Amino acid sequence: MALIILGALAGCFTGLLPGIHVNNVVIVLLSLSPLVLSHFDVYQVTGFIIAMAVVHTFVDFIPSIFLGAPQEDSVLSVLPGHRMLLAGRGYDAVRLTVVGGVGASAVGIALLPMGLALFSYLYSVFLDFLPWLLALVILYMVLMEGEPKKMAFSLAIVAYSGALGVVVLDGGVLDPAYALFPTLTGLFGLSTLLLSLRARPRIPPQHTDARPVPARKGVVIGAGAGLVAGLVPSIGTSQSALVVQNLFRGEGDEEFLVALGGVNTTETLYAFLALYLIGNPRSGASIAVERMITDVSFWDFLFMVGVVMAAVFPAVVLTLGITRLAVRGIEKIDYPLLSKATTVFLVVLIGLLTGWKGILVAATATAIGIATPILGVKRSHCMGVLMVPTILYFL
Amino acid sequence: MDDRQILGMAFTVSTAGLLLLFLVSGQLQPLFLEPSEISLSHAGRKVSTAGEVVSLRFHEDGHVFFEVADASGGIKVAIFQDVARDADTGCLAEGRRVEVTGRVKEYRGAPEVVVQEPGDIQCTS
Repeated sequence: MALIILGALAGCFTGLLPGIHVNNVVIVLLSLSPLVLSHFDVYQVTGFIIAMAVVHTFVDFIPSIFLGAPQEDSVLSVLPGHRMLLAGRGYDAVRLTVVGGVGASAVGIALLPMGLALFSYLYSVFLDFLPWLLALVILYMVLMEGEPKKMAFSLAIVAYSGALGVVVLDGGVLDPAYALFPTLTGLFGLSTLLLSLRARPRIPPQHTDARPVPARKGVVIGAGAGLVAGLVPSIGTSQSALVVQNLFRGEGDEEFLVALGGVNTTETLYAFLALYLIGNPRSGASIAVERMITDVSFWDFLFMVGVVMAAVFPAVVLTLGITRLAVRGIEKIDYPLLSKATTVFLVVLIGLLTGWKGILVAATATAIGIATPILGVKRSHCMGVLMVPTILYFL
Repeated sequence: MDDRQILGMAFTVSTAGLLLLFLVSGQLQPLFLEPSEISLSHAGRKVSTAGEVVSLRFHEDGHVFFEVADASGGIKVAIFQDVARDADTGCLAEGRRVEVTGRVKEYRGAPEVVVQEPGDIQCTS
C-alpha cells in the first residue's frame, strides 16, 4: 500500500513536469532493478509502477490545460482546455477529464470479462484493417473542413506533420525515448503559447463550481477508445482520442474532455490485459511489469487490475487538489509573462533532453502548428505526425 | 457532477480495488522452478524449488546456508537467523531432499533464494 501511495506521488511528478513521462522513471527503475528488487518484492515494485502510470493519466491534463504544455496522451486537451481556462473554467476543464477517468475506469473494469473473451478475435481483425481505418479517419477529418481550399490546406498539414513524424520517429534523428517531446510540444504546445502571446489574453477569475455536464456518452466513448488503444499495437491514446474528437465534432468541449480523460485511464488498464493474454506489452509501464513478472498468470493480471482500481482515488484527490492550487495561482499571475516563461522553460528543456536537433524539430513542429489557425484549419490535422508513420508501418 | 460525487465514485472504485488486492494476495503463488532454472531475471520474485541439500553450513550467528541441487544444477539458499530460529532446520542434512520457497536476490552477481517464512522449508525425505 505504501508503495502504491509512493507510486501515486511519482505519477504526480511525471504528470506535472512537461517532458517527463512514466517511461523515464521506468527506464531508471529497470536499470536499477537488481538493487531495487533486492530490497522490495516484485509485486511491490509492480504496484509502484502501475499506480504511477494511473495517476499520471489524471495529472498530466493540468500542465496541458493551464500551461499549454501537453504530453502525448493529453495533447488534444490543449485547445478545449485553453478555451475553458480563458472562460474562467480551467478547474472545470480538469474536473471533466477526472470525471472521464473515473467513469471510464469503472466502465473498463465492467467490460474486462468481454475483453478477456473477445480479445484474440478483435486483435486479429484490428491488425488487418488498421492502416485503412487510420486512412479513413484522416480522410474524414479532411472532408469535414467543408470548403475545397480548406481541404487542400488540411491535407498539406497532414502531409507536413506526417513527414515530420516519419523523419523524427522512424529516421532516428532523436533518441526514441524523447523523440515525441519536442515534436508534440512544438505542434500543440509552443504554437498555442506563441499565438496566445500575440492575442495577449487575460486570465479571468476562475470558478470552481461544478456545472451539470451530460458525461455518459463521453465516459462510454472514452472507455471504448481507451480499450482500443490498450489492445491494438501502434494505436496510442492520441490516435484513439483523435477518432473520439471526430465523434464529438460540434458537441462542445465539455463532453470531449470527459472522453479524453477516459481514454488514457482505460488504455492503462487494457495494456495489462494485452500483456496477460498475448504477452505483448503495450506501454512503458506494462513493459516494466513484464520484465518484473516474467510469466504473467491470471492472478497476476487480477493484481494489476486491483492496483489500477486502488490508484483511482489517490489520483482524483491529487489532481483536484493540485488544480485548486493552480487556479489560485494562475489568477494572480500575469498570463503573458507566464506564457513567455513557459515557452522559455519548454525550449530549455527540449534543448537539455534532445540537444540542437530537438530544438530544430520543435521549431519545425511549431511552424506547422502555427500554420493551422492562420490557414483556418483545425490543429488536430497535426496528428498526422503519429498517424502517417503508423499507416506506413502497417502497409 | 460535483467534487463530492466524483470523490465518492473514485472512493468506491478504489475500495473495490483494495478488496480485489486482498482477495488476490492469497492466490499469488510462488513460481515453481527447477534449481538450475532460477536466474537473476527472477530477482524479487517469490519462487519454490526442490532438490538435494549440498554444501550445508550452519553459521555461528544462527544463519543457515546450503545449496539445493538436482542433476541439472543448483541454487544457493540462505536462511537468516531471524527465520532460521523458528524453522525446521534440524532436518537439514547433506543428501536429503528439501522443498524451499523464498525470494530471489542477487548475491555477489549470482542468484540466491532467501527463505522468508519459517514454514517455507520442508524436508521431504
